Amino acid sequence: MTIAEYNLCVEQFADGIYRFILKNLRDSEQSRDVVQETYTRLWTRYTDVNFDKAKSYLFTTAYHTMIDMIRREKTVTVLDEIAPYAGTATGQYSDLKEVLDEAVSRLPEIQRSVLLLRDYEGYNYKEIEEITGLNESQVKVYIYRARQFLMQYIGTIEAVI
Amino acid sequence: MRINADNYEIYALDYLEGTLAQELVAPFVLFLAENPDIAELLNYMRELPLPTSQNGKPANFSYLTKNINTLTISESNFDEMCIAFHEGDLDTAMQQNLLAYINGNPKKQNIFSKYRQARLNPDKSEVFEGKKMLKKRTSADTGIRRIALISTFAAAASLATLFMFRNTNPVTQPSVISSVAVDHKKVPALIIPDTATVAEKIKITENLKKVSHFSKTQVNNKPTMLAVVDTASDNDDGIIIISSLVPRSMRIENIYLQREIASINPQINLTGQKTLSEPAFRNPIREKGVNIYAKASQITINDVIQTSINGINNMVEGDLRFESQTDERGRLTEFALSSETFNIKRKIGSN
Repeated sequence: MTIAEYNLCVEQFADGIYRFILKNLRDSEQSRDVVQETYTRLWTRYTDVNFDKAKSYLFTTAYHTMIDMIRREKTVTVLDEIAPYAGTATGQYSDLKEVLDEAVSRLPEIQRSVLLLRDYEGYNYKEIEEITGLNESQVKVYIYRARQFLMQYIGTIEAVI
Repeated sequence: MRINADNYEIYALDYLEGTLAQELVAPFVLFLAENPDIAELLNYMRELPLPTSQNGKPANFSYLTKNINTLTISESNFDEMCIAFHEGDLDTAMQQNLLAYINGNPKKQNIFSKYRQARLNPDKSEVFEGKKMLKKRTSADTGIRRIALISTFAAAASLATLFMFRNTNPVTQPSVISSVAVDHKKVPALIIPDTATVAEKIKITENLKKVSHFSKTQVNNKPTMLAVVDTASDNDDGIIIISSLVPRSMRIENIYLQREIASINPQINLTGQKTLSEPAFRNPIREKGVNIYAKASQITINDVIQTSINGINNMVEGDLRFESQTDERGRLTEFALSSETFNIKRKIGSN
């Protein structure tokens, strides 16, 4: 790819990558770091990366950078962030988006990632397989489990409201 | 496959649900024994109620190993069918079958609708603010931005010359070589060596920004000017001066290097405007033993720019050319900067 195409990648994909990472990490500063690291890595080998494959390359890099960051900060911190889901919810919600945001935050990390790639970026199972390193069946199972969890969470909130 | 910290999540849920393949159970348990923090996390997750299907049994999505479009819709696979419908995994015939099934079971309509709602939409108001910083200059940009950078060329070349006088050995590590006086203000200066990788340059740039932030040095009440000479450029003329570190509002007239250049390094051989074309001056490294100084009052901005261009060309064997016109008072009124790949002409004040 050329420098102009690299800049186009920044313009077109940086926001999407940032949103994807932010939704996973829920920390804007760390998310910015991941985006910067991702583009730094692309820049170091931009001449080797085909522009047509750049989006996939970026999301793959961002995903693995994020996973590395999570692991570096110890799994224990992830544990701290997981609020137990006891089958009921008592939060105050004003709309469906807030309900879904809450539900997504309670998903296991891997389910959340594949679901966000699916819904935010419209990736198909095969593409998610390439980004995450899972196999296609695993991607499907995680998406289906996540979808079922979201549906049940919506139902629980409706019952509370 | 060996279970490790990078892939354990693939097996974790199956393990928690008791569906992990028998031959993997022992390795997974061993892995947990070796990683107590992860074991602790899984124990925690084990206490969380797992999502269940409508009949209360854990969802196993058994059809995923089969073709869902060949199954018969039933109570036990209704959830899977709803998800598959919204994921676009059902063929037309199966979609119609599912809708017919729902029509025959009105209570299922609510579940079907909730699956439709269980889709995420990105919040477009969340944007990455640093896109400008991530972008790189193209050759076209480089040509245009040189107009704003002519002033920096002066400092950069002077710095380069300064560096070369002090140390003629090849540069192998990036380092702050000196503080340089610009308009009576001290400004950090740095040369990035030929061997620096792109990643190193980015890191150096970030560090320089911090230096700039903390030093609070100002030039003519403008932010600190940090001159960065990148001799490893793959750009057209072989040199990049990282312009983001230079205030673009700084105009040629605001640079008073000509008043300071002698004080930057007394070894710089300025012989005055009339003798700038002398061969000896074109290669200040060779002529460092020559000790001729020009009075500051005799040096014009034109001289400084020309000196800079010479210095840059000298450093990188470049072909930058600079031509200018001055008014009766010797002030720069028009200039042209060119190389093999670009040619810029501007009148001063015309922007």
